[in-house]
Amino acid sequence: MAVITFALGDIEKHISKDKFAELAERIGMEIEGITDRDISIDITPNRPDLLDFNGLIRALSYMSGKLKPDKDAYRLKEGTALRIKVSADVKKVRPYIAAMVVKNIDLSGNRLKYLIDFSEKLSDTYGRKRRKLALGIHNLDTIDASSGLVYGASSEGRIMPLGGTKEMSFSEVMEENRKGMQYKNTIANKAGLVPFLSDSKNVLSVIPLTNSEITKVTESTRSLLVDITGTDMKTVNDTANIFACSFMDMGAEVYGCEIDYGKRQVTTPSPEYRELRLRLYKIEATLGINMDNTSAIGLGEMMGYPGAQYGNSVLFYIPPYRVDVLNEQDIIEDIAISYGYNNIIPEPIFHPIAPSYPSQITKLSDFVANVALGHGFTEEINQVLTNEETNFTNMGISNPDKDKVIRIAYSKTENATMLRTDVLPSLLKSLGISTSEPLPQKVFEVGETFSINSGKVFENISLAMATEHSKATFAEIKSVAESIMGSLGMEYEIKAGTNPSFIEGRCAAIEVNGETVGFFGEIHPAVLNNFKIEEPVAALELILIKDIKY
Amino acid sequence: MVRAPEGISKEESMLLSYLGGGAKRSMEDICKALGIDQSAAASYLEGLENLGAISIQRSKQYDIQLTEEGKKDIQEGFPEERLIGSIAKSNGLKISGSIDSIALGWARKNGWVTVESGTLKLTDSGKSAVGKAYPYRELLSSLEKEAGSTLIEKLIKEDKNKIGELSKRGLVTIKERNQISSISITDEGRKLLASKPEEMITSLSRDIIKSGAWKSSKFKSYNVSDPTERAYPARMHPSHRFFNYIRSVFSGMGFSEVEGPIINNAFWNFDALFSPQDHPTRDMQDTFFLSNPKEIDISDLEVLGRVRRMHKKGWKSAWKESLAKQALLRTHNTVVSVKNILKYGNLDSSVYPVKLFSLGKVFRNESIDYKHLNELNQLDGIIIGNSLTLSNLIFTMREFYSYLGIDVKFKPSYFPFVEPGMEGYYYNKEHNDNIELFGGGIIRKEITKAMGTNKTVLAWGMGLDRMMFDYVETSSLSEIYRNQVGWLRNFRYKKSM
Repeated sequence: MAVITFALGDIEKHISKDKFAELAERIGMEIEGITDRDISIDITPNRPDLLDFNGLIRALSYMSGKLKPDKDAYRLKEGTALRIKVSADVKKVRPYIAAMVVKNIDLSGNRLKYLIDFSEKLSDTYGRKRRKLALGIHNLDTIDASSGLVYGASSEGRIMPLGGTKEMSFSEVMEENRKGMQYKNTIANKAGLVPFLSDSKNVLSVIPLTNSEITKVTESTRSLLVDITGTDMKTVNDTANIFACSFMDMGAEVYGCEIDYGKRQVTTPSPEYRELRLRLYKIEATLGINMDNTSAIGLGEMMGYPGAQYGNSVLFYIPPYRVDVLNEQDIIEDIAISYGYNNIIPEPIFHPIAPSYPSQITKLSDFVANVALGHGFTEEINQVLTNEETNFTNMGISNPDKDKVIRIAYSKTENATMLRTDVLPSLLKSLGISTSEPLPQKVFEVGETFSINSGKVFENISLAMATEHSKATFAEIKSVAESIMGSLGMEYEIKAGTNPSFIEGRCAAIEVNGETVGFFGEIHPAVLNNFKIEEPVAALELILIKDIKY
Repeated sequence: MVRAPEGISKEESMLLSYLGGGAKRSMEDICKALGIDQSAAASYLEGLENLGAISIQRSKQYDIQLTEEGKKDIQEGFPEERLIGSIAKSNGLKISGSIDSIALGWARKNGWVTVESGTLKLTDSGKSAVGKAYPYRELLSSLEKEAGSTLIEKLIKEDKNKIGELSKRGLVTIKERNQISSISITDEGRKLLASKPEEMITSLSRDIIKSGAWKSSKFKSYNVSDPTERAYPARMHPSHRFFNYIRSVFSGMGFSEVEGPIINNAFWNFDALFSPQDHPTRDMQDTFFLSNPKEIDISDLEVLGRVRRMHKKGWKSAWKESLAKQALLRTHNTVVSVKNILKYGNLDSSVYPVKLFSLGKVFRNESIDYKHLNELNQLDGIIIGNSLTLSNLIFTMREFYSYLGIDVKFKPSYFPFVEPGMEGYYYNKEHNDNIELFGGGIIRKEITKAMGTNKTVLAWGMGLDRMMFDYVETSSLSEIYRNQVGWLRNFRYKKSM
């Protein structure tokens, strides 16, 4: 998602701000904010064409019926404006380029700003932070195109970066220029090749880092050269088409450029309407709306598709900027949008009577929670994300086996570096922040615990219970533990246990079929100190399901 | 069971009998005779006094404490005395900063000094005061001497003003307190003592119940408004209760609950859902990738092949298995949904539609504040069937939300795994804003095909934590999961469920 901002004054030349907000929401874009000066709108990633002021106004004008679609709307001017030769080197690092020449363009007012915002946002989102796609916009009048341009790659070369005052080498751009430093990782390659575009005299841009100051575009520039480069041919050509349409909507003339890949030559852009057939029954099958040709064509027009009847189908002409529309299903979604989701009549689903089942985990968790509540313990639900300090250090475990812990690679918060192995640390942490509350405090949680052993991940369901008051003892928690085991109907044995979180000699292990499934006893005073608990605590930790089978 | 006149306790009755002899008694007498401590005695006395059974004589007691300065002034003389002494010696004293202002103030107040052209001179009364006893000093030393004696009350009454001055000067502190000097029985008390004692039951016991002794005696009555200790019932966690409520609504609509693992590989969390491998949400910034385990193998090779083809065809770019193996914490429960499409996509046609939901934790690599948690709870649902439409999904969602009393509205939205995609929202009067409720749509044909089914799948996902604001009184989401025991004991529900 990308948020883009337009001045209210510019919008209101075309449409009132209330209507703008209403229609934008209707086509699925969210208004982020309206001030008395501008409107910010969140554009979903499937519609890069709407990051553009002209594209957005165009879409809303179709939706409101103010504009009727025309499959001849976007035509290039005759003749090739210039030729770009693609070198063998650049094919290894950033193989594709499309370009166009734009004449008689008016960039006054906010137009230049919108054009730059559009290309920045597009390269950031659709272009994956310029890695997949980047744009260069140049003042054509500053370029010597007489013998064509070169799209090449080299480890050496010089450019005066945009906004700079002196020439720099390519490597200086990457080390010292702000944009250079920001985006150099997108072209990292062993040979140190840096893509560039040049005319017979100068390097016009170091791609995708910076343009040259020489070709800088201002509000009074009337002719542009626009280049689009990237790693994916479709993305590059699609983007060229989106921009070509936008320039033509601004009233400018767009000329094609010939790209010479050596073995083959292509002309870009190619803003042509594509034909797609929509079978009417598919609308009903997908949306549940019965629809005839006329209404389907009318709804298509509201999305900017010219359409014509074709038997029991409609032939739609998909505009060149709608790069997201690839098949019938995509058109149906647009038909639903122009129809209005809230106008769709809800239809119940008929089906035979069949029972519904709770999940095994929900059933067991609810059962155990009810037993624990019956013992007077209050339920907690804690996060399973934790850190070593809470899960191990505070529990008196000094050398945990780190290979057996599910660990997070990168976390924005130091409280979340691993998944908990036990529930008890969560309970002790909560008792530690509750010392001002009257005692006794009795708490429990049924929740997920995690571990890993030789690459095998274990997701378990565990129960922990803790009772804190001046006379909390082994005997109290033993009674509870035996009651829980009894209500689970499990055959178990209680043996002397060793666990650093408990006082030695006051800790028992619960064994089922010879395997230790839990511990209970009196919490060690060192652990109480670590959690800042001031009264004795007796507690229990028990695995209810080891290694859940999903 | 004890015998005691009605309305008084055994101890009170004993105390009253002790005073019944008629003699005035002191507190110490009572404590000694009854073998009780002062605070117990005071409480019985208060009770009896309220009944008018005894009369208590109280006297004033004074705690007198001379300050260090006070003690020094008795020894060395008050500053004003020392001042006139030195004026007398030198026959006049030039006024300068070295003269003690307190001494000067008092000397003038006493009329001992005058100022003549910048020099202090003694007046006649000043001259006669030199070397004589100073009344303030006399008073201070008698306060010290008589502290604790019977004279002190008289002294304090007579010299009230002067003592006030001494205490203001910080030479002495006097604290006054009331003390019981003697206690005697009243006529009312004698009557009470004479009244026929009755059998009173204070606490019911096994013996009393079994023997039937209760038939012949009364129960000592309690003061029902006396404060008692607060009881804290064990409570279910509010989110558990809320989730069960949501579960009950969906199961009432015929949905079964399914589960899936929290730890997944990117293959199930992203790739199987048609999320392109270079999509920003697959960034370390947003997703919790794991360092142990780093990777989880994709076990179903057939599905792997189909997903690979789906990506190559759909995104027209290379698809790397190594990226799909990356281990992570699920970012949405749609991962459970897609696994169940695989599991339930090819059953006997009579079982359709299959209606499933899963409810559990999902994870986002976020910085945490009162509004944002990195561990959230989500419910994802799917309906797998033969001829399902968007209008069926709208129906299902409307039913669910109308049960919760929410008037849901729909609008288009984009999620890579559905088409058409939609979002449900409602208008919140309090915030004057549309609040998002769920995202959903029809699972893309590309995905259902990769999961090996030709069925249509309706799907949606909803965050549950924020919904709790309507049901649980709380200032923040983090408060709900902080589990401060006081909060767990005291939070209130805003709505029944």
